[in-house]
Amino acid sequence: MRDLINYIVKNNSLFLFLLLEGIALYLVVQYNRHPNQIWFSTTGVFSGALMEKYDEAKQFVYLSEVAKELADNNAKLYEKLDASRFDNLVVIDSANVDVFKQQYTFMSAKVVDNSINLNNNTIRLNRGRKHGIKPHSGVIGNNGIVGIITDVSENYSIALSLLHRQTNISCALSKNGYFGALRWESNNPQKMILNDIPKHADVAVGDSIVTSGYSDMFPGGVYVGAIDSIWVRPGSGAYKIQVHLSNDLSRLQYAYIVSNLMKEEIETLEAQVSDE
Amino acid sequence: MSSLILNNIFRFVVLVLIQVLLLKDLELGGTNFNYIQVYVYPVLLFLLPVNINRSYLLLYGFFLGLVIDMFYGSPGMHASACVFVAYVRQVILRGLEPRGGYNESYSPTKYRMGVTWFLRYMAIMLGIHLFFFFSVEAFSFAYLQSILLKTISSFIISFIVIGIYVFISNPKD
Repeated sequence: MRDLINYIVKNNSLFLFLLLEGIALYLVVQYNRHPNQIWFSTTGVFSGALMEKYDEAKQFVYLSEVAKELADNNAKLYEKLDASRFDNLVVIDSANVDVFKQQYTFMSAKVVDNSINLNNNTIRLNRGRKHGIKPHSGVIGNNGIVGIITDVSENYSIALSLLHRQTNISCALSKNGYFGALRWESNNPQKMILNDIPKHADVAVGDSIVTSGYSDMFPGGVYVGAIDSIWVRPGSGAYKIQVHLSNDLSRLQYAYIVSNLMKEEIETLEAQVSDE
Repeated sequence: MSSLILNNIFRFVVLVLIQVLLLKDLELGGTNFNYIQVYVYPVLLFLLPVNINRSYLLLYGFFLGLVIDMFYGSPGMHASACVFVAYVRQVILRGLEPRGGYNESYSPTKYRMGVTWFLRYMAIMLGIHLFFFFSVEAFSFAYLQSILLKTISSFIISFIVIGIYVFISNPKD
């Protein structure tokens, strides 16, 4: 017994090493399962504030490009205004305001921190609980989808980037509606893989991919990217499709957080089904 | 003694800021060769005095790693690599011991030990650090090819950057 204690005292650096390495690896494993809430909420306070300041400075460099993108977006929105549409409707018998009830709301947010060169990339946005953001909301950028909110603190939220090994988003071919799961399997931040499109589907290089609308995080029809190449994994009945993302995540400055107003209703309905 | 501590605190602040504000955002490989990451902060561990208490060294490494992790949003990854390098540092110093032995209160710097010795020491330490880090990041040797590719390409660039730092500031201790 005494020998053992002597040994521990003499070799205390080995035990300290094992202890610290254990803590570090525990953090890694925890984090790989799900972005750790505790980690995020404690460190976000320090690094988030500094990153936001730094980002403000960095923004000047991109200012003209951002302005151009916003102008483009405004143009698109003007097109959607009722005033810019031709009214074909001749007879209105009864106005039913419930026909087009708002389902998704969009809140603009600034990207405070972003990475693209890790295996599991995350994005930090400057909107949080205070602004009504909830986990499992979608995030879209000006040119397409960006990620999914996983953790929310008082002022910030963190999103799983598309460029994360756990990302799995239901997407569809816009021309015929065949859908599959979009994942990031390479190290290239511009390419993602769309799995599970059946072999009998009609696909061609250049076809556009949009969100399917089957998840309650994104509205359907949000542009994701175009097909780059198509192949069949031997022994499977499904295509693997490489998609070139329309959104350049390495230059992301602003994003919109999508909130689904009918989410609770959908969730209660699904809970009822699983109860039965 | 106190100037040694002040030097190290100053070096810590400067290098960590360079790491998280400048090097973190570099995308040297572009979109087609996304394997290059530049790390300058590991040199903080290399430059501590030879006779530093091993437990302090481990705690310092752990703390340094956590600070870097905080900014990279990767809890534990840099910390585990730093703790590992802090632990094997003594073994490597013994292996590289010059014939007359070390002056134990000096730091193993280029100024004290000469260019050739320092570059070799730095190469070994940096190689271990990066390989361990990228292994932990992938968390499986199934990705060995990508781990090695990342280690080698990041090593070359990081080695040059750290080299530039050491040659410009030429720290004594």
